[in-house]
Amino acid sequence: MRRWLVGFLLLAAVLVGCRVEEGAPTSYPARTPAAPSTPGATRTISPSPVRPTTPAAGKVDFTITVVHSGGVVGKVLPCG
Amino acid sequence: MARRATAIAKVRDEASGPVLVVDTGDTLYGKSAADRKQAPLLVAAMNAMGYDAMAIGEYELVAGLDEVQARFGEARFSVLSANVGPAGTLGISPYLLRAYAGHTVALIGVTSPTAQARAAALGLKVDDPLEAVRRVVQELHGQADVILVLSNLNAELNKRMVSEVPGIDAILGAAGGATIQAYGVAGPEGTVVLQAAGPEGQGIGVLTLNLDDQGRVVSYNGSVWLLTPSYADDPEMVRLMEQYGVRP
Repeated sequence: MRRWLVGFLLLAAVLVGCRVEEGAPTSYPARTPAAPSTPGATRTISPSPVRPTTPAAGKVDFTITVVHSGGVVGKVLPCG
Repeated sequence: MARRATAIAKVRDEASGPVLVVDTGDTLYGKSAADRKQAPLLVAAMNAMGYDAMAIGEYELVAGLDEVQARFGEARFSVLSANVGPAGTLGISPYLLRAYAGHTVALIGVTSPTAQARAAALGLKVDDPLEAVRRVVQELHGQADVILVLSNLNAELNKRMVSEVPGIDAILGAAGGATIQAYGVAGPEGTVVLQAAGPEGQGIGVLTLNLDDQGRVVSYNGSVWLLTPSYADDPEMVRLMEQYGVRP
C-alpha cells in the first residue's frame, strides 16, 4: 500500500511538472524589428484603418517600379 | 556606373509598368578633391540613364555656387528638396508629380539638417525636414495616389518620419549609407516601406509597388541589386565615361 502510494505521488509529481513546463512561458519574446524582405518576395500590405477599403481593395490594377541610387559621393566606380 | 546603366535597362525591360529612376542625394561630390571632379560626368550619366529626380544631400552643396548652379542647370532630371530654400533657388523644387494611366505618383526630396553649414555658404537655408515633408504631403492631398520620399536623412529621422508624417507610402535612401532591403513599418495611415541602396553606388534599390484600382498600394516587392561584374558594362555609358577621360 505504501509503495503504491509513493508510486502514485511520484507519478503525480511528474505529471504536474510536465504540465507546468508546458504552460511555463507567461511572456512573449521581445518583438524584433521588422525583418528585411527576401529579395523577390512580394509583401502584402494590410488595409489601412484610415484609408477606407472597398471590395476591390487588394486586387492589383497597376504596378510601378522605382529604381534608386544614392550616396555615390562623387565616385565613378566600375559598378555604380 | 557602366554596370548601373545595364541594371537600369534590365529593370526597364522586365517591368510590367512604368519605371521611375531616382537618386537620394550625397551623389555629385565627395570628401576628397578627386571626388569633386566627377560631378559633370555624374550628371551627364544620370541624364543618359533617364533619371527622373535627385534629392539634395549635403554633398550636392559642397562646391561653389557657380559650380553647383552649372551642374543643377545641366540636369535633365528634377532636383528636389522640400526643406532647402528660399523656394525656387537654383531650380530646386520640393516635389515632382508623375501621372500614369490615371494614377499620380509624387516624389518628395528631403535634405539632412547636417547640410546647414554647406547650404549657408551658398546662401541657402535648410529647414526642419519633418515639418517640411509634412507640409508638402498635406499640399499634395488629393493630387497624388502614391507618395514617395527621396530621403537624405539618417535612419533615426527616417524612423521618426514614418510615425510623425502621415500619408507616405515609401521612404527611399540614405540611412547613413546603409544597405537596407525593403521592409514595411506601420505608420499612422498604413504601411510605409523603407529601402536604401547602400554606399558609393555599389548597388541600386529596386522597389515595385502594386496599386489597386483606387490607387492604393496593396503590396510591394523590393530588393537591392549589388552591381557585381555579372552586369556587363553598358557600351553607351563606357563611351560617355571615355569622353570624360574615365575608364570603366
